[in-house]
Amino acid sequence: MAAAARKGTVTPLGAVFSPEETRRAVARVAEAVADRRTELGRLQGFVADNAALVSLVQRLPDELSHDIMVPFGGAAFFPGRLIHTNELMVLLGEGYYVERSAKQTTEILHRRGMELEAQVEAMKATISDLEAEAKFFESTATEASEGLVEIREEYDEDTEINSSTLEASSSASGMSEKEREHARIMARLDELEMEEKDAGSTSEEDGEDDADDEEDAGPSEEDEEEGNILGHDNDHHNASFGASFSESGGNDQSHQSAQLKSALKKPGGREILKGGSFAPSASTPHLAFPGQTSIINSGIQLPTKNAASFQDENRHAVGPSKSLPLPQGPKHSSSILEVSSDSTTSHDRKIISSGQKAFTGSIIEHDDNIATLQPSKSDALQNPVTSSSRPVSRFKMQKGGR
Amino acid sequence: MASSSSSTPAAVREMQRDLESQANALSKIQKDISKNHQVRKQYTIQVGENELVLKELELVNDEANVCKLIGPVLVKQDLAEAKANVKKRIEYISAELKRMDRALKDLEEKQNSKKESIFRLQQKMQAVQAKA
Repeated sequence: MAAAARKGTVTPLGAVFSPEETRRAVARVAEAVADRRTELGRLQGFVADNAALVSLVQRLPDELSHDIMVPFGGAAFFPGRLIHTNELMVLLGEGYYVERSAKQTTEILHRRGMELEAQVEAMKATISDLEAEAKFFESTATEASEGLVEIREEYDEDTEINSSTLEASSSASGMSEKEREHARIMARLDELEMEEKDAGSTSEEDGEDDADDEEDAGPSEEDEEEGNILGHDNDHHNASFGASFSESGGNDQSHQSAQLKSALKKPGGREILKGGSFAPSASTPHLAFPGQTSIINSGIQLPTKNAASFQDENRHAVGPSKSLPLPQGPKHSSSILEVSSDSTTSHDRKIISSGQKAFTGSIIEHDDNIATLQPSKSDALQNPVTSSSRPVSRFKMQKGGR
Repeated sequence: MASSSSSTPAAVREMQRDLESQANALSKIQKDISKNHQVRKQYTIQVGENELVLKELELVNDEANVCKLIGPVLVKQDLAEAKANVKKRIEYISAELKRMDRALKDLEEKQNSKKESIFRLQQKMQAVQAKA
């Protein structure tokens, strides 16, 4: 526990940004966006007018004269003929007119159109900037009201390894056989359900299932054996889901928190924070199409999962006997999605548990695999997210344990 | 004690009057600033328009007819003359914009100092009221 206390600082987001203030900021930015939108609409109207004028001017000199209805006053028209169809007086602005041919006029109009397009693009960029800002404010507001906390800790490789070793030894006898059995069955059920939904399952998914089976059986077996299985596992399925999170849990955690910290310091950090609120939904694609989206998403996922874990931890600090909350529950409609969010959360729980030593069981693998996986650590860091289906069993185990 | 309690209401009243006048001055300055912003926006648009006109006039060949709308009539103008006019207008507006920038900076400084003095006054008032 002393290790956990020394690791970093925890600040509730609500203390940094008060909810009312963030809400006000959201409203203000939304207003600005609305203003820009009307302006953009005006500009686009100009662009359309200009295009219509260009086509008219281009058609005018096709004929020597046009029969037209001449507007007379506001209400009346009389028939007339438009002659000199290739001579136009073009208003350049500021009251200056110039006599131009139709062709020259279209050139002028094209130049004007280009100017307008540039203005439209600038306006769009401004709007997207403002929208990003608004989204950031919004997510900050919700996070603050949900009781999210910001955790900062320095990464120190030696202490990380030591602590995970300690945990491994202290937690070896943490869980009873019955609980493990229950968790294994639950995990299997979830997987089967998933397979059903994903009728066109790929070989990678099969691989994941295998991995789950082996891993589930793992805790009841001896440490050495399990290490072998997992090592073997890893070789086989590295392509599909990289190194699993648990295999390099201790290191990953610290890396991620370090990353999060640096991200928070950077101005770009807000993008990451924003991502934090969508953590479970963002991870769904991994379950549905493992291996396809993993590389694209993994960069964002790292800090994202940390954010989710903070939330989780906070809630448990408040009510430790409560079952796992699903912060984004309403967003998930189908059972598959539920499962995925479960797995994400359980995943996160594991991170926490390794930090606090509050939870046992999963850590048996840690030091074995840290030893075997040190060389491929970078690999593990690149796509630890793809293993998100594996920790389902952990979640269940833990649920049973509490 | 008696003397201080008799003098405080007068002092507070004095301060309140002072504060009011300061606040009025501040709001006047703020109004000036917003007016400055508006005029500057208008000038910026005009500069843009003039620059567009100049660009087009540069592209027009010499024998083209250039006219200026003066009131209800179009008056024919020499191309060179029109160009010179537009250039002069751009120069004038740019100078005006610079002048307004300076004025704006001045106003903002004034605003800040006013805000500070109001803040100090408020603090003093609070102190006096707390004592009384």
